[in-house]
Order: sequence, then C-alpha cells, then structure tokens
Amino acid sequence: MNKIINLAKLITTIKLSLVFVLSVFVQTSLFAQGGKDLFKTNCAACHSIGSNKLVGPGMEGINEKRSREWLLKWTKNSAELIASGDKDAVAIFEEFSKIPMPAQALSDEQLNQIFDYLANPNAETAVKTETATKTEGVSEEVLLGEKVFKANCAACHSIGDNKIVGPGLKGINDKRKFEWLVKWIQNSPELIASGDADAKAIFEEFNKSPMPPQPVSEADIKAILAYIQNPPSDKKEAAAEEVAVSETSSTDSKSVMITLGVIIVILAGLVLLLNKARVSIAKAAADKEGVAYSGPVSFADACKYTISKNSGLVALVVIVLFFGGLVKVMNNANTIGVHTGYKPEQPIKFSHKVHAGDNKIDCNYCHSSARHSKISGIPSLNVCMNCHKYVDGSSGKTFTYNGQEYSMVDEIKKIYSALDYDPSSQKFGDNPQPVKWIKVHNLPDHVFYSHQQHVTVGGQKCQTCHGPVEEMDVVEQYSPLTMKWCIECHKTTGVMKDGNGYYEEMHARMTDKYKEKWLGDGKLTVEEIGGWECAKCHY
Amino acid sequence: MKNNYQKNITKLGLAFVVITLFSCREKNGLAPEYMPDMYRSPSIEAYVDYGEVKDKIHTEFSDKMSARTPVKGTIPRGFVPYSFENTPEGYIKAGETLKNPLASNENDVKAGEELYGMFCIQCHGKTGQGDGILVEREKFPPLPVKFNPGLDIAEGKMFHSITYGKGLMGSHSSQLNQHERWLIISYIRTKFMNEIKSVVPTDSVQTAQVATQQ
Repeated sequence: MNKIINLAKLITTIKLSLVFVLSVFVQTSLFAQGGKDLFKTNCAACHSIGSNKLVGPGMEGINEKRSREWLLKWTKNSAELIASGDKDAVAIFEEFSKIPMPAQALSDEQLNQIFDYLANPNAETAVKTETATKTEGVSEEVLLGEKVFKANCAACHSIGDNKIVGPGLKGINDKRKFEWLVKWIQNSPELIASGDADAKAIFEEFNKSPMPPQPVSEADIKAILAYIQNPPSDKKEAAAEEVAVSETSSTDSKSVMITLGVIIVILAGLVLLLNKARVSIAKAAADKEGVAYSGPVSFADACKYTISKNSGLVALVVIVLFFGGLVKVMNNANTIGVHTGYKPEQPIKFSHKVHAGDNKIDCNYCHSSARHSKISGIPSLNVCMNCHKYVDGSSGKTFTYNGQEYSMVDEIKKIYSALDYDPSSQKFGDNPQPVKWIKVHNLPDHVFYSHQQHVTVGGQKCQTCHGPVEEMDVVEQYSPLTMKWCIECHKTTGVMKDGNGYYEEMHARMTDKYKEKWLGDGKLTVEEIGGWECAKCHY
Repeated sequence: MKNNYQKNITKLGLAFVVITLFSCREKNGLAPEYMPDMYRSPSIEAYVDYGEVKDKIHTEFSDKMSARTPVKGTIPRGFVPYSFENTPEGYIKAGETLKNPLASNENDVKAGEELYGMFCIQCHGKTGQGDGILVEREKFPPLPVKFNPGLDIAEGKMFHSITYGKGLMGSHSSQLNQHERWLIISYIRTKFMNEIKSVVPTDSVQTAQVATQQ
C-alpha cells in the first residue's frame, strides 16, 4: 500500500516538474501560440499536425525534412517553385495527384511562427491539460473537451445515447480502448481496411457511410473523452422560468359584461322606484285638491302615456335610430366575406415569430413554391424535418402562441407522430397522417391570383400583402384581400423594368407609346400595362 | 289607428336591433359570408378539405383533400430523374461523373446568391464558414464544412449532398429544382472557393446529361 502511495507521489512530482519545465519553455517561446492560431485558420483545413494525410501531407517533423527557406517559398507560391523545377516540389506535386497547394497570403514572420509552432505543437496543449489538473481538477479539461467536441463532433454525435448521424457516445470510454479510439477518430477508413472487427461492425451498422478523419490531436481526444464521461450539468434555465399565464382578453370582456349587467339591473330598479315615488306624489297632490288620481299607475302605462303626449319627439328618435341603424348595417355589410384579422389556431402551434423572426429563416425556405407556382405552398413535413430531425426541443424551452405558453417538445412530437417517426431509432413508419392545417387566406373562386407573378416577376416582398408575419406567433389575415385593395395597389405600384430581360422590348415600347397619355409621372404602373383589365383576374 | 302605428314602429325597432346584433364576428375573426359557395367553391382548391367546410362535416366529400401525394412514378414535365443512389458509393460516383452544366457566368452567380440567401445562409452563413444564425444561436452545432479556397469537394458531390442530404443536413430536393441546385453550387464555388470557371467545354455538359439519364 505504502509503495503505491509513494509511486503516486513520485508521479505527481515528476508531473509538476514537467509542468514547470514546459511552462518555462512556453514562456520563452510564447509566439508559438500565435503560430497555433495561424495554423488553425490557414492550414488545418488541409494539413494535420500529426503524420496523417488530410488533403495535404501531415506536418509532423516538417522542420527536419525541409529547410526553412524552402518551406517559406513553397507556402507562399508552390506553383512557382514547381515550375522552377525544384526536385522536392515536383515530387510532392506528383504524390498528391497534381492538386496544387493554393498560395498563402502570409508574411515571412507569420510563416516562421507557424513553423515554430509545428516544431513543437504539443507543448502548449500538454501544459494546458497539466495545469488544468493541477489548478481546477478535471473541469478545465472537460471545458476544453466540450469546446473541441462542439466544433468537431457535435454535428454527427450526441453525448447521450441517441443517434444523430453517428452513434451516441455515452459510455464510449468503457466500450472501447483509448488507442482504438485515437486510431478510429484520426483515420477510420484505415482502421476498417486493416480488418479490425469492431470497426467493420460499426461501418456495416451505419450503412457503410464512413466517419471522415478528424484533425484532432491525442490530447484533444483525451479532453473529449473526459467531457463525454463527465459532461457539465445541463443548464435548465427555461425550467426555472415560471411564466405566469396572463389573464386572457376573453375573461376581461366577461367582467365588463358582468358590470354592465349589474348597472342595468340597478338602473331598472331605480326607474321602478322613481315611478312609484312619482305615483305616490301625484296621488298626494290629487288628494290635496280633492280629486281622485286618474293618471297612469304602472311603469308601462306611464311610458305609453308619455309617448302619446310627445309624438313629435318619438318620431325624431325613430328617424335617428332608423338612419343610424342603416349606416351600421351598411358598414357591417362591407365586412361580409372580408376576413381581415382572421386568426385561427393551428393544429401544431407553429410560431412564425420564432422561425421567421428570431431565427431569420427566409419565407421561401418553407414556402418554396411561392416562386414557381400560383399557390405559396404549405411545406410538407419533410421540410420541417430538415431542422427538426436535430432540433427536438429537448432543451426544455417554451414559447408563446396566442398568449399561452407551449413546450417545444410537445409540439415537435406532433410532427414526429404525424410522420410516424421514431426519434430514437431514426426510422420512419409506414402510417403517416396529414396535418390538418387551417387555411387562413382564401380568395373567392372567381378570382385568379398567382404568387409566382407577384413574387418572382414583380419582386414583391411577402410582407407587402401578408404584413409583418415575422412578428406574429399566430398568423392572421393582414390585408382585406378585397378588389378595392387589389386595384389600389395596381394603380400605385410601378413595374420592375430594370433587370427584367424578358419584357425589356415590351417595356421600352410601352414607355414610348404612352409617354403623353399616361406617363405624366414618368412611372409605368401595373395599371398601365393592363393590371386593371377585368380578364386579368376574372376569367 | 294610432295603436297600429305604434306597433309597426316597435317591430321596425326590434328588426334593427336584431340586424345590428347579427353583425358580430366569430371568435377567431372570421367574418360572416353571404353565399359561402362563392368563397368555398366546389372545384378543388389548394389546402381545403371539402369534407369540413365551416364546422359542417360532409363525409361524402371528405376524401377530397387537395394536397396529395402524386401517383407513384409520376414526374413533372421536363424533369430528369437523378440517377445516383443515396449511398456512399453513389456519393463518390456522383463526384466523379457529375459536372455542373451551367457556365457559372455573372447572372448564374447572382441568381445563386439569391437562392443561397434563402436556403443555405441560415446554417452555412454569409461567408460560407458555417456560422449562420442557427449556429450562432446554438440551435445547430458548428458545421464541419467551411467553403474555403482549396476545399476538396467535387461539384457532383455537392449536388448529391443537396439532393439527398448529408450528415445533419436534410434533403433539399423538394425545395430546389436541379437547375437551382446548380445555381447555388456555382455561387459557392465562385464566391467562397474562388473558383473561376471559364467557358465549359461542351463534352462535360454532355457527360452530365449522360450521367443523369443513366
């Protein structure tokens, strides 16, 4: 037991002294860090710092292999060096199937930094991981791992056990040896070709689509594995956000109705009381004079009596009511069939505000047929799946729709169930059901309207007619879609003449022909090219 | 006589009250319709289920959902089926044989830019570095592909990826026709990958056609 402790102590002292030596080294050659960044931005797309090929050769030991002078020449303009007949240069060119290395626009100083870094690429990362374990335990390494993982792996792998493109990596540390993982990550096709049984099995399982070789060092892989084993706990801020659902407007209007009812009841009671008072006063007055009271007693009788005495006033009230009512009827008749503000709740609570507003997804991405067709199509669910195969709402976030909070997971699940899709196995079943979206904008059957004509030819923005959809969570009809509205827009909107090659000749002819008659304002409007012809829209 | 006159007036007044009350809108803002068959026509229109018009359910019409899957094997006019299979071999083969039939001239690149802005920019970003708004807002992980000069990816492979999807990217073949896919590729290769394509030799256009007809 003691021996083991001693050994552990010895190892830590060795580690610490190593750290010291390395950190001194790094401090003296600090500029290597700049070299690393430069390498990552300019070279790493094609070259690894190890010995493996990516697009170009690996850079391990490059400083021993070639002179610095040669390297600078090659990097700045390889084509020139090849043309000059340099033996080494021509050999490399041939080896890499005559794909030239593009000339890099870097100064001598920057290139020197890069090659200094390549002379000792692991120094810095080693120090980083060592100091990490020294100062903050594992967390620093985990953080580095998280960063590398997100940049290189997260596009295909999750740290859970769900498949994305490749398998989920939960428990990978127990499943495979570190050496195997390094080989696999840095060059999986080679490992498969070498006949490794595990590698072959995975290759077969994922339909023979290979994992591309990754430009990560062994230290990076170590960090990644540490991150997978010990992921920092999820930030679930969303769960903490308890949004109080605001009292909706319907309850507001209800309370208004109740107060109104109460006021009416009180007023009616007052009227009846006053009538009683009036009768008793009149009776008392009649008694005083010694005459029996003969006037109306009940409230209804009193009303009839007043009306018969004041027929002129009554006629006036009736006339005012009649014409007032007439105006009201006319106004209401104008809204028949005009569904401005129609705002139905959809079966899936799709918020345009989240998609088109916050995430700035172009309208045409989903409504792609607006450019080609009479109808701006409602996207089929495969378009939803382009994103929601990955974005499954597991972050636990919520969103507002029509004044209420909905959870992302539940709504996205509706897509999955409509498609009969199982997210854990990523398989589609054979019983898909259509989503019954509710049509918002509807033109009568006797009107022809083409989206293609307005969007592609006319260059109109979607918002011109549909309003600020990117601010609506529930889409509502923004424009009245009446004939008056169409006509007014056709009267004022100018025709897009520039860059419209197809009608160039016609536009020139029209501009010339109607110069006197219509083009007083110098603008060719839709009306002037026939946008007011009945048969344009009604046929 | 007077009584009759009064009665008529009350009736008229009541009629007005009734009419004005009738003009109330439905809860979700749907206005009343006069002769609704002018709006909801018997001919098939897009995205209307004729089995269910304004809460009335007509089971005899309910099969008339207008957005339907075409009969299997249907192709649009002028459409050339894409012949490479959605397999890694198909991907490699597409990269070897498929060539961009467009000349990638100024107009192509301009049209491609517009389409890129609609369909790609959310993830691939303005500069093609894979830093679009969805990546920025951490909806998606950073993309493994950065469109830089020297990126070793054949245009046929790019076409294959847009058609079938690759990795996390889904298939965009329902949103972009083949011509539009090539426009986007022209834009990416010209602007981000600094590839200047001079006039295409005619034989490569032919090979592309032969390849797609196979």
